Amino acid sequence: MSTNKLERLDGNQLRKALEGALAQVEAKKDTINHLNVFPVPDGDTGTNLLLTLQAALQDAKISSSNGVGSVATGAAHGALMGARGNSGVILSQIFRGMSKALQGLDSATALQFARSLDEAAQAAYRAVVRPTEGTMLTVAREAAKGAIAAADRGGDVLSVLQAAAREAAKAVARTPDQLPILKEANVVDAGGFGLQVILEGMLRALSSDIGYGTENVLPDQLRYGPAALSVPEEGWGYCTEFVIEDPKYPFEEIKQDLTSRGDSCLVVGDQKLVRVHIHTMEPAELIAHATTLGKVRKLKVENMTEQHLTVSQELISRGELPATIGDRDYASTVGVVSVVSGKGMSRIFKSIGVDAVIDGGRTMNPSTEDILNAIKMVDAYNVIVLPNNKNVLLACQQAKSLSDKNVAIIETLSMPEGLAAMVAFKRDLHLSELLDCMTKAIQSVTVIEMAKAIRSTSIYGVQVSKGQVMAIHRDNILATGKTYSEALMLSLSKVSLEGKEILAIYVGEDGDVREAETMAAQVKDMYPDLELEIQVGDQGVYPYIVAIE
Amino acid sequence: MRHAGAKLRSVLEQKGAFSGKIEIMPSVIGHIASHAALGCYGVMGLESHGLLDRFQSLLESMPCPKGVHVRAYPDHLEIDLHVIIKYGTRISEVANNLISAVKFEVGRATGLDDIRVNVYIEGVQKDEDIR
Repeated sequence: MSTNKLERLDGNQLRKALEGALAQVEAKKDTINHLNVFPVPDGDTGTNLLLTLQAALQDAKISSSNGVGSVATGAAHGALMGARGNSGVILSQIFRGMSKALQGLDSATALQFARSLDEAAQAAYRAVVRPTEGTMLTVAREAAKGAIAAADRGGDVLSVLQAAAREAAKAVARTPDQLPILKEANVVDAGGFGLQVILEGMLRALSSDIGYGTENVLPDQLRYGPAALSVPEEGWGYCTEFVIEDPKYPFEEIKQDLTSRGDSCLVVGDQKLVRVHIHTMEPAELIAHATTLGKVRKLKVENMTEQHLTVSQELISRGELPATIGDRDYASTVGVVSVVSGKGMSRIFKSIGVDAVIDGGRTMNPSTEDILNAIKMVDAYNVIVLPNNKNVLLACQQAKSLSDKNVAIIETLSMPEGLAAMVAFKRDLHLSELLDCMTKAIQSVTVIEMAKAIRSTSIYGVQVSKGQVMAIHRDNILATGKTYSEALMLSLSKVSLEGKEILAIYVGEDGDVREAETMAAQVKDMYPDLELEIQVGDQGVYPYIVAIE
Repeated sequence: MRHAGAKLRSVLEQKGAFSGKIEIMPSVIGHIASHAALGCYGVMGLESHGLLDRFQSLLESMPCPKGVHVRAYPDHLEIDLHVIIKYGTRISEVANNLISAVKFEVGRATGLDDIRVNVYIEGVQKDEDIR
């Protein structure tokens, strides 16, 4: 051990420690996300801790003085304001407890620092009625115990922190025994591991700050966290499982032999049957070796690096894990792409603020690639897609799953629905609020699509003869008629016009503006309160689309 | 709880095994929600709100737990939670965590997917209040 000691912790050192914690969490973020199965398995614990810690550090940096109390108060305030997710809220309480204990101090002795960790753990427990053991709370309490014990032995600030990190790691390793759901998923608690990473980060930063290498400070198993969780450069290796029937050697010998051949080795069984679970870099060699021990059955080999990648990519595509975390502003930008048919419609959608339109052609049938390209083109991380047709929905969903941006689909079934949604679009709103408003806005519009039947048939249970006009409303044939105006007038008698003010007719490729004007005049006669509007949409398939808002 | 019944029935019908119905009482959902809520970080308690609430729990044979209301609709389930939150936590975040925890637990127990959770903050609890 070096003779350099850290007898007191001042504000600047606390800031450095927090910076170290942030760097460490940033590096381990994916690992932490990967572990997240409790309380809700949404794989965002690492991201939440990182964002909360960023907010804490930001305020710690601008604290009014360099006193340790003032810096801790800043961190507590930042964490409170920037708390994200369950783990973030818990972390904010930890900082809050710490700052209370350090309040007013210019610098803290080892004992004062240890007590602040203890107060932090107590504060964390005070904010929940029924604490779950085997979580971040347990880890905080065990770390604090270790810290107090080290301070009582007369250790300096570093040895207090070292004891806290060591006890945290031990507590993390025990979490699967305390919380069955963790054991089931074969993971340790994500939040608890996150806290361990934070303490280790603080320790690293402080020990390098006073000039001795971290190598002396962290015992091997602490440097990377639990072995199974580290992401070695060569990858995660292969998760290999098999059963050995009629083993040729005694069980204990086989167990010993296999344990030396990989990580996370689990060998259970008896003299007749041995079940093996092991992580190895060389599955082929291992299996070849296993065949010399007995009959190998039920062999299963999985590439864990790939599993890990799949999970993180899923999270990125679901938007729970921003692809670029450093750029917070970009992560909140929102853009819209819309599938349209017809030049007129394309122009209308652009004029109302859509970032990119995809021309679905006459029949509204764009490829997934078209949609994907449009999403890519938009200069925003969050992209809302308006399919404007039921048949386009699937392609949009495929594009969503392929895109590395955060894509949300608002299920608009016609272009007027898309337009109604766009009216509610405001660029400064948060994505979730936007989705809410836009989805609601769709309900305010009633859409009637009209086309002539090209052959006699029965559609949606209604008999239609060739040449007849069908008025379609959300998959139902509302009315049929000899002419467009007849079908329109009939349908208007069937839909609710309560609270509606505007009736817009979009004239399609095969429509005629003059015919639309005649229809409008007829509607005006019958419903004088409605305001009428005619737009050239050039859309295919439907010569007239009527939207009532 | 028509929805839960309908969903399950369709599964059973597919298997050719349908011979009855399953009904989950709102109070059962209420208890699951209450349990999930009280395990949620930052939530200090559930609070009955107003006289009407107390009257109702007297009248109903199987009342929902305090501060929890469950309404079943044909296509979704709506749960109201009246909660006390820890002073010094970010209320919006605790409420969001609460919503996702309750949705997750109720969904896991019942198999329903359209669950809407409304959170009403009825008060905050300070440290001094417990001591």
